[in-house]
Amino acid sequence: MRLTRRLLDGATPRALWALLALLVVLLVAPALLGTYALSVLILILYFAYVGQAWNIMMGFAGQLSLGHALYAGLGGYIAAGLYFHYGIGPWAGVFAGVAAAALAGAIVGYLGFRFSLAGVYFALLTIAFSEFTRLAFDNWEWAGGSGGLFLKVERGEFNPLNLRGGPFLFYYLILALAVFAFILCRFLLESRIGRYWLAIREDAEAAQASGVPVFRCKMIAVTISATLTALAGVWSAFYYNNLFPGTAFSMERSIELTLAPIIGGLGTLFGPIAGAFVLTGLGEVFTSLTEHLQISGLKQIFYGLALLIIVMYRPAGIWPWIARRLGFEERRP
Amino acid sequence: MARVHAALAAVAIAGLLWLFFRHTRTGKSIRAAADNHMGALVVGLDVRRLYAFTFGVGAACVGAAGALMITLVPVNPFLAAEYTLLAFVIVIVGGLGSMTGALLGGLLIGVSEAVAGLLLQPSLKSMFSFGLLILVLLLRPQGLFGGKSGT
Repeated sequence: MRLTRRLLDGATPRALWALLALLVVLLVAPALLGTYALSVLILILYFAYVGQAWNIMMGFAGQLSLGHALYAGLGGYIAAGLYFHYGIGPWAGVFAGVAAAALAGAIVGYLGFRFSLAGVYFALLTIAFSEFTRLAFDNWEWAGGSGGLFLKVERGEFNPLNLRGGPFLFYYLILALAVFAFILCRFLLESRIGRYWLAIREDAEAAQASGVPVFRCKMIAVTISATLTALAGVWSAFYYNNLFPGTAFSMERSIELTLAPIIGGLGTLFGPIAGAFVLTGLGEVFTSLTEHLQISGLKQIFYGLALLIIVMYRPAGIWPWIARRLGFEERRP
Repeated sequence: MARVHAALAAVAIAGLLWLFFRHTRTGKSIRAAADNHMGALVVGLDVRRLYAFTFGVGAACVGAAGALMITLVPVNPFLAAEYTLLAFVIVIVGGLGSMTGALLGGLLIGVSEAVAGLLLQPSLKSMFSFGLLILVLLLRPQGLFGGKSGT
């Protein structure tokens, strides 16, 4: 009871009802949607989930990471590799993958925070580690090298124990992950560590001076964030059935993971979700539009322009603005 | 010959840039704004305009680099990320804000990649640069040739 009270405290009834309605809609959506719409919804939930994970580091603790592909890639590669080579199912392999990613996150965090790298310098360190790993995987035979790692796909196979199945399985998995991450983030924000993170984000020196264990809090942030991201990596490895170092660890992937929270609203709980809906929605609209007009390449231009306009006119993200409009703002004592 | 021309042109452009930053009023203003934002505002520099101008100069230089490079490497629309990253690595290794640093850092990264490609596998050469970058970030975040701490 204390837990639920802590989770619900301060949220307006209207916001809670809206959340519940959204959850119900998402739960029944697969029964109503076609294959294409379902794949778009899967993509939205995926970006909402990884955005939530990245938001813990940047939005809450204020540490800019541009190398999150490292954690997703590690998680995915290790779980997929164990399954591919030794037949170890993903439900066991996920532990190895997540452990490796959490360790990688802890190493990057330890080096960055111990040597007090901040801002761009820390971001560059995360990029350097991600690129370093990409090149290592490019040359690692076990992981398939630059040729990539492919999981066998058999039509109509349904085996949740090995994460083999159609879009329904992956839809409900990513939905569960997204809901879990949302509740976890709410819980973290409402607990002591969350307040510490916000203090560090606003002014690390002042936080340190008032007794906040800055180094430990940052380490917790990077480890949790890496863990959650690695789960998404495992999920996407088994959803797409292929992995290439050039995409799994690329900077494009890292940046992709940051877009939803930036567009939706850094440091807000619902920002990554709202951002994922807008981003993926825009992407799909522009894709069908350019297909209709038959001008290839126009999609990227439209997409880039749309992002530019959102960032220029809503630099704090779209969610705070929408929340104000809809009366979802939290009561703050 | 194309390589020699490109190298000479690169050195010439770097020299012009150096002259611009040392001896023109705008160049000096830009350095002042980078060194102390508030101070530059106080002495009446239009910092926002200077930033925009600097962005333009930077883009022009990279454009020149691209024009010199197409005679040497195959070009495709997805080159951007690789070279953005490479430029970033060079500047950080050399020292943010130091022109000699950028030049020598570029030389260092270029030569070390070539040597690493020769001694190890060619596909591993960039790993060397990123290893170097990690070491520099941790041990000398102001860069190898940077004066004061960048943070």
